[in-house]
Amino acid sequence: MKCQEANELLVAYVDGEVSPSERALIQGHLAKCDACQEELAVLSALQSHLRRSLQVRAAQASPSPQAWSRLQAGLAGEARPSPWGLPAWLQPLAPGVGRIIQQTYQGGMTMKRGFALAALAALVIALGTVAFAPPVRAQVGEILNSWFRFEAPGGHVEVAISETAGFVSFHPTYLPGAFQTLGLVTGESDSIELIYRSEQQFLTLTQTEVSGDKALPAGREVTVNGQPAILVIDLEGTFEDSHPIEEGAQLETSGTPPAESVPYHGTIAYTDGKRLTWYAGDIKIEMLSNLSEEEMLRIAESMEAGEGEPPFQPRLPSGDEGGIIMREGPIESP
Amino acid sequence: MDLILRSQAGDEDAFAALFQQHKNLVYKTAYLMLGNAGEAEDVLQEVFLRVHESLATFQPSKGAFTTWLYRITVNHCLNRRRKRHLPVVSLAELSPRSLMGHSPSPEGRLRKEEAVQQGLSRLSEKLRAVVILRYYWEASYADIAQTLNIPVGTVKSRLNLALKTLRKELETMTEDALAPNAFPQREVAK
Repeated sequence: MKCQEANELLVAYVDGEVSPSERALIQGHLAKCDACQEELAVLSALQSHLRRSLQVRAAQASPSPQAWSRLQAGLAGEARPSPWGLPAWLQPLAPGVGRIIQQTYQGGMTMKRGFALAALAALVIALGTVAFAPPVRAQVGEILNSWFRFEAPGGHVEVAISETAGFVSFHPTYLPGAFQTLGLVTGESDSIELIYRSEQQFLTLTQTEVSGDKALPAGREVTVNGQPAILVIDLEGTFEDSHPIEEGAQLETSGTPPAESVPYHGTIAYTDGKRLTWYAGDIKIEMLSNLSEEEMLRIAESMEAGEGEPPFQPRLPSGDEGGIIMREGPIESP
Repeated sequence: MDLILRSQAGDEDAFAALFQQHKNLVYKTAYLMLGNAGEAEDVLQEVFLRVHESLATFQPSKGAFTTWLYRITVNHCLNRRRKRHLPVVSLAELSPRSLMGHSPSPEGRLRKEEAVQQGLSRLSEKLRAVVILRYYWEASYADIAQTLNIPVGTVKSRLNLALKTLRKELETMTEDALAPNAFPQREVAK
């Protein structure tokens, strides 16, 4: 072992965090190298002083006696908004209390009822288990009033949604591995939102057609494909991939549900969220994610306009194909 | 664990007990990270508000509660450091004469510790976080990696860099503070 290699491991060696083979190599080297022995002694002494210094400093530190009562006041008064902007388009259709419904396929379709949320607009979830493989095509289909067609060809559950928007949306052609698509469409004529997640990370892309002033929010100036963009960091919130749907919504299945389960990963509580905002022509794109800044910029710069035919044609499921049709009406559990 | 389960079920008394049990962990970590009692108090509030909000998502199978708590605390401190430029003491304010001395007398050790504290305050927040978790909380490298959601290799390289940076800082403060024969020999084989 050379001195440089030994030096890189000395801190871990003193901390007892080297492997047995590394320890043997280091000890063998130290037996022959005075310089590294000296370096070891210096590092040991420094660690000793570090520990003492931190202990002295921390000994002076304790929370105030009012800390708990202050926290109680905070808990009583705080309302932290979720970062989810609830689409408004279903509100007129579903006044009243919404419920969180989680749908999973487990050899059949099951539903779980979650918490009741007050005064929520209904969201319709389109869940996809299409593993991302570049290039990603735009996911387009048809929305007919409150209908969403949800198909399951060949064991995959694909989302059939349509752009009622008067613009062609953008979609990423690069995403980090292990990301899955959860498609969500707001249904506003000038707005569309796409959602992706892995187990611990998420990405939402909200696209809105803007006429007139194309203002950007305050934040750090960056560029996306040469266009000015703004990055805001240190956002906190929660991401959920189960969402309320209107109380009157009815779920029906037809055919055989797919064999593959739709994974439900649950909530992501994050404190490292970032929002990247930029314009592509008249389309304002807002990316919210807890990915790294580098990944977000890479995804942003991979975005392409989704023109042309969708990868599949939406159609009513029949026979063995399985699927879900959502329509207004009372919720039924199978 | 019982307190956590009860808190998750909405038992506010259990949450109060959880707060009392772990407030020092959060406060001292924040104080060591930020160097300021007021900021540490704010972080204590923010962290437990976050805990109260997110406790339902905590899964014991994925790690210890304290690991989760450290992670939230360190993240809050990192976010605060980015938002505010905390004052840094200049080297000119230190008296090199007071830091010299070969003898590990109590006075000498105290001054060296002050020098170490100054050096710590100059470290980046990411390096300071691993130093605090390792040399104050005595966390293993694996626990630090899990807390900060970084690989163990990154923990090693950050600690390496932190100690080398500290050493360099201290060498500019005193010419003999780190001379090997100024310190008692210690057993290092583990």
